[in-house]
Amino acid sequence: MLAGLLEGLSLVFQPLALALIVFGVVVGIVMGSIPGMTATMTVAVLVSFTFGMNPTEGMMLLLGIYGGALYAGSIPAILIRTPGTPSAAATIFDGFPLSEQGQAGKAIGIATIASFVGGAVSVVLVTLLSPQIANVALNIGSPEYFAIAFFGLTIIASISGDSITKGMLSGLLGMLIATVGLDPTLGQPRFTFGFPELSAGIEFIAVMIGLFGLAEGLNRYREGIGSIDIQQDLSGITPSLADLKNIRNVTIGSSVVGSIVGSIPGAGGDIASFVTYNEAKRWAKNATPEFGNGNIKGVAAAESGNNSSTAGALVPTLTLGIPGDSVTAILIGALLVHGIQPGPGLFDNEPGLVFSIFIGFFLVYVVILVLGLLGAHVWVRVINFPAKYLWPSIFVLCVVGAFALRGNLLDMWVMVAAGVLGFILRMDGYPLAPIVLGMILGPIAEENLRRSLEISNGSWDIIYTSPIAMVILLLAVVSLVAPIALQYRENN
Amino acid sequence: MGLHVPHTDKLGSILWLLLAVGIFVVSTDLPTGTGETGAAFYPRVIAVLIAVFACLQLGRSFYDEGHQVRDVSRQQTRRVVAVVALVTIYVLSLPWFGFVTGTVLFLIVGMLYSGARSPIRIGVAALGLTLVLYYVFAVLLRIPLPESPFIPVEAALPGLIHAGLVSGVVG
Repeated sequence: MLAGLLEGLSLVFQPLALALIVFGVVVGIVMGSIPGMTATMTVAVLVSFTFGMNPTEGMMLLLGIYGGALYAGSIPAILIRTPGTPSAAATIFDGFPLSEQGQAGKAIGIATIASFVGGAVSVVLVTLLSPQIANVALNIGSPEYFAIAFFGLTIIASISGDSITKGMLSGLLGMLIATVGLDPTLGQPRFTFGFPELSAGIEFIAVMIGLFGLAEGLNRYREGIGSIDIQQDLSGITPSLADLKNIRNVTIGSSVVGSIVGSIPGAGGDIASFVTYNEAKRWAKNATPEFGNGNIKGVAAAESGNNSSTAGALVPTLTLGIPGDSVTAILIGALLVHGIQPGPGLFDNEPGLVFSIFIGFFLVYVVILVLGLLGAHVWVRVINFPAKYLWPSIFVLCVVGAFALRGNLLDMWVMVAAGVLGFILRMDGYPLAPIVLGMILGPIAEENLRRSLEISNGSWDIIYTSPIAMVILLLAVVSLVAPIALQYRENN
Repeated sequence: MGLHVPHTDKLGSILWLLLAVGIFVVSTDLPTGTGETGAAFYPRVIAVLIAVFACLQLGRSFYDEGHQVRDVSRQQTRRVVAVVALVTIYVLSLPWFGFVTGTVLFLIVGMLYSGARSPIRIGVAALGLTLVLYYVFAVLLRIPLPESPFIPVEAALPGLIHAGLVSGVVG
């Protein structure tokens, strides 16, 4: 571990890598400050910039954007009651009342400190725990790996939308799209319909850009892109010592809880922030002012919760190759572009890269702390950025990003098709995240299922007789049935 | 008058079922000589699961009729169709116009359509973004972008950018 840590330090503390962290955070904060620009969309649209970089530099840029966008979602949430990213929705509850009371600067300061603590605590926890989890994961076989991939899909489907059936159908669609191309075991062309370009498969990142970039844009145009005009004067951004003492326990507690929630595949920052906000509210007896009326503990709980989920999401991503959320799915895609396969072997094969990700993510939150406190006046102005210039520019980034993947026109058409499909599916209440996660998990599930069946000469007993696989599959069934049972109980 | 789609869940479930059937039909062409773990095996597992969840959704749609109507106004439909058409034309134009010309034209039309009216701002934004992207991808990251066989802007750009940078630094 020490050797990997030292190698990681040497990779991150390079002028270009450090500059990319700062640049990524700035881009992330700018994009995240604009309502409707989610962290997922920003990372998806800008991932193509990393194709020409080495893996560490690419990861530094993407992690900077990820952390910056997630943090910045709190700024419009506090100022205009509109979360910049879905993860900042819980920040509104106490952030906006503080803004109404003329304490917007204080709310942004608290959100910045809490984001830093959340991110930093989470990165430290993940750095300590991930190598141990990867060691355990190295010893699991194909049946267990198939079960984990299936569990990942079911839990993602069950928590990512209002309807479990729609979530599962979205996930299965992603798995189906991933079957296009050469069969992974026998190398036979599958669903290529005679087009040789399809033999290499449908590029996951092109689908991702379409689903989260173009589809989001189409949705914005459907609603009317409009414009926002706010004039906020911020003062007292740096919190007082009394305020810091007041939020200390809730911030650290929420950071730990957020890290755990974030490490569950599919449970991103939005779920983490609601969980930590509700827990903070439940534990704070006789809080003054009450939660919902401008209590700084509410802002601290929500922001430390959602920012700590980011590093938490890296746990399944790096140790199992199973994405923790949509953004980490793109990180997997970016690593795959560089020929690096995330999973338990990553800690043995690329220890420097793994630890550079942890160290880099820690630095991302240091940069967020500095830029958040010093540049708040600037970020507030970003909210006014006119959408009429922004969205056509984002469409260009979508098209160029898809083309830059392999330099072929097919990927651009895949992006456009995915965008239109994503727009239609979203309108009908289908969550989009399971599609991309299905595209990642599908090949893992297929490879391990088929390998298991080959080992057992086609007998499914190999899965039934593995206690670990059975426990995980039972958990998968519980994750599907439990929400339905709970809903039924609520209705009756 | 806009778009009125009733029974969306029923309609959606039927489309999912058709997809599942389609997977089975198309996968009959796949070589299956290597037993049940042949190329067709896994897509068929997915098809069966799609059919199961589509049936569950169809069944649910009969007793839960709420939120099953989608109304999209004519104005909304027009806006979305226009954006899809613009992006499609942009993608189609790239092999002919090349990245620089195609992108500048798309950005000008896109920004005008989105409500921008200042010719100077539109011009600066369109040209500025296009050149920045060209520089980052084609020059800095060495990722080739589409070039036009008729308008050789891309071929001349690296020299122009270099000359511009040199004159900017020297000047």
